[in-house]
Amino acid sequence: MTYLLLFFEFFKTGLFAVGGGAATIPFLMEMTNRYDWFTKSELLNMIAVSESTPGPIGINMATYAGFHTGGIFGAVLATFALVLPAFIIMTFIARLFARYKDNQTVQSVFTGIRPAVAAMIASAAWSVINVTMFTVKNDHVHLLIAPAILCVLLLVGMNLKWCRKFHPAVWIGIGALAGIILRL
Amino acid sequence: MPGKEMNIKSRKKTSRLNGLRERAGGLNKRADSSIKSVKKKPDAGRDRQVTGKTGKDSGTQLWQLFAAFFRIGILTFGGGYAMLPMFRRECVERYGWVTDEEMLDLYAISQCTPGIIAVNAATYIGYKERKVRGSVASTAGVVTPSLIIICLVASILKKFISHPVVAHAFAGIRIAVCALLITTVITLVQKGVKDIPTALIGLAALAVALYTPVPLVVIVILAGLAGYLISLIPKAEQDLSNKKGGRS
Repeated sequence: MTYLLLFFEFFKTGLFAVGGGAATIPFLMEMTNRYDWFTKSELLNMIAVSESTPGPIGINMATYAGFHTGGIFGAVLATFALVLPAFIIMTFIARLFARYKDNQTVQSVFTGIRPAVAAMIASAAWSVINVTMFTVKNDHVHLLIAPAILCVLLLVGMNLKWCRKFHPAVWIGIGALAGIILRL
Repeated sequence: MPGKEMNIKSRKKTSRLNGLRERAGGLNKRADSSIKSVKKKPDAGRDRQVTGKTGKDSGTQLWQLFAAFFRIGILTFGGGYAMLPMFRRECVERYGWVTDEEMLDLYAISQCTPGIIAVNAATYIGYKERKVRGSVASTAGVVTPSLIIICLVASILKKFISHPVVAHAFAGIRIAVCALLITTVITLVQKGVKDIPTALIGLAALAVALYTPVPLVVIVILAGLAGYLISLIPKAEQDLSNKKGGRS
């Protein structure tokens, strides 16, 4: 019975959490109120872990909550339930898009959308940079020196001619090593 | 009718050839990797097996979809935007499944539909290449690293996660993600901003996204509307000049 409820709850979450992984958190909070699957403090721990492990946060959260509730099967079930609504909807959209991609109106709409999306990604990138490189002390915003230097070094490295072909994994690995060595 | 018969025959021959090409493509790939250092591969879709069609003729293997999205999933540290550099590397540069412009379109659609962008993108691209089986393969690929790692972390590796070394490593990883994002953003902005109207839309969207609480869905819709309205302008000018010409 729990498994059925688990599926239902995560399917609901997957259906209504529009726009990203962070949108699933309110639904998970609801679950702490309604069921005894996990407590609020356990949820906070899950969020922290999900942010620190590979994988999109939304999926990590569903897997963790599912595992906590019902072991491996619970993890798979919750993840599957979370993913299913998006899967169905995107399949329809993929078919639609294939059909109307060359429509003049559609093209002009997306020509307008693209710069906006680039801007949105830029603003998301800015908030990441903000959190990672700056800190607030005594009402002043300080630039964290070591992270900033590392970031600049990485940027330079990424754009060196012979380094440009490297897979992003390389830079992530270098970042991890640098983090350990410099005790960031 | 003889002409029609030939069409069917040549179509069958083409699809058989494509099937052979798909199998041979595997051999070619192995040969390619051995002379990787000598041969210079073209930039976009360098591992793409030719046709550009969808379905079985696309030359994309199911395992390629799974593997590519597995790599994307396992390197995504954080929210949806964090996957973009990896996504770009695999789907645009390596396999050529989408262009940068389509990637932006995908991101826009993902903001307006339920689901995280990783899953939305995986499903879309998987479907585009190999229909339902493709979308299952790619979505399974993006989800599997999380399943494995989280189950391990939640059970055996709990203590490992709280080790200070891990915290240091992740601090470094976050910075690497910043640098990757900056690079990717610059590339994407160049693809999205092509002329003055798009530049204006971009700047407006940036200002709204940074300084107002307007939801991203609204920004996308308004930008699309702006794009449509702007496209009407040359048409309106033409209608006007036609009318004038007609009258005189």
